[in-house]
Amino acid sequence: MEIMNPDGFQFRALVVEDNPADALLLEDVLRRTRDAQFEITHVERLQDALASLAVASHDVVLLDLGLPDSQGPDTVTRLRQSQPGVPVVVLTGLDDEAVGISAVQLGAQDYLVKGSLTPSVLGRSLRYAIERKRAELAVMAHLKEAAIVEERNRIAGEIHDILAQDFVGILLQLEAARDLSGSNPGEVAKCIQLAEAVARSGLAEARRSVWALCPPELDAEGLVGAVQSFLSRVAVGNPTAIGFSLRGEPYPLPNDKALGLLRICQEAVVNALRHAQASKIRVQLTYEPSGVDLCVHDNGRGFDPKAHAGGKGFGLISMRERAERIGARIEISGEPGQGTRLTVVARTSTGDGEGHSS
Amino acid sequence: MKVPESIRILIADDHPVVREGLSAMINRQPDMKVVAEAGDGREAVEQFSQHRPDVALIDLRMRGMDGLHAILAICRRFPGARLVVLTTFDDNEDIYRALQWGAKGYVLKGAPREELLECIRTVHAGKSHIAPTLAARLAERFSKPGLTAGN
Repeated sequence: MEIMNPDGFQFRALVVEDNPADALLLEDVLRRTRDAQFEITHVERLQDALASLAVASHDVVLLDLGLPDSQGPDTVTRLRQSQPGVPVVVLTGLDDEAVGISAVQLGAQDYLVKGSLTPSVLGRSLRYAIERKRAELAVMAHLKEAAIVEERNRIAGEIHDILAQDFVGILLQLEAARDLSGSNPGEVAKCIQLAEAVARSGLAEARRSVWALCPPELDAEGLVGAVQSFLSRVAVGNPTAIGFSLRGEPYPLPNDKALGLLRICQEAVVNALRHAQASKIRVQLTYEPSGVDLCVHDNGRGFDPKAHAGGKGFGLISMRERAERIGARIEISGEPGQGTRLTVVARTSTGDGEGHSS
Repeated sequence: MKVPESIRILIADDHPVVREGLSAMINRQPDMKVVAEAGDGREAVEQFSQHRPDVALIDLRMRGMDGLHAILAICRRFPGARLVVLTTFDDNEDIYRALQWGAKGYVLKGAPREELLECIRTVHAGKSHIAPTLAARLAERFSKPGLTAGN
């Protein structure tokens, strides 16, 4: 995207600023940056910025947070939802550092205070924003790939360990029934019964796997319903006590967020069942005004999170990747023999104390 | 009429229904008897040491210590051990290693039982039994530079 020319690098910057004086000043400062050249597009409203980003690629966005059609850090969220791959640098007023920080928490690369901009400060901030965003995207791509490989291995493992073994078990019983037919009707009936039981449990396992891979539309039952329905499915025929509790008043979540939380919940519960040898699993959803928390706690043999610091195995990569994709934070605590507690904190805004109720 | 002595067999597989099914099938053969069963690799090594079976059937993939490591441990301690590898899929790299380390036979799970029974009898007689499709691939593999046959 950048072109090296005799004067340095060339970038395309989108300036979103409704105050004509501020816009002029910015353009002037940008023109005077020395180690990079900026080709500037200027718009005054968020809608125009989104439209411009949709049709032309820009290397970086300089974003004022007091636009006619969008105010405050929410502006960053809306822009990032539409164009997550473009780095954003926010412009704030002199007394607005808190707003700048919350914009960064929502995904902006940096914030700059209007009025104190020099060409070198602005140029460096934009260059850094572009480079950091590139590095971030590369890490995300790598993480995503690792998560896909992990998921594939998990599915292959499930087919191998469960479905294929069930088929072998059924075959053996049917062969036995054939052997014994004519000589021992009682034994034949027992073989057939056992084959039926194995087929049934294999079918239940296949249904569970398929359901976990693509659950029915979440809209119909919402996240709470989907989690409960998943838990009741796994509970069938399982000696582990699985409990669910809900705190706060549920409200609709964006589908990607709800699906991400459901997947993480499924993975954590299946981990607890398969690997932790837990006798009790507790799942809790907490709806706060600022977002939703998911907690999966088991009393199993636990594991040492440090031993899995690289995220290897146990679906940790895909859980982390899922959390990352929905902007959530994931915490796993546990010690060998002490059970495992997994907490996902998915906040839609930066939380209390910022004074925004968008 | 002289009754030949039964072939004494150990079965190691972590899926109980598979293990019991194999065990029942083998016990129905007049010339075979299952003397021990194991649910993972560690148990397989223990049971082998304790019972010294004529032939051991060992699943490659088990929870805990897997079959491959059990095969290595048994062949080291009992160089004359006659082991048959059981696998679910035949494209498994571990099969080659198991055969290099000293397993004498290989049978795909779900193969007709005659094949498994024949394999047990062949290996018991001191010969190798490897499915023809695998044997061809095995020859190709062992002819590659950097890989040497175990025997």
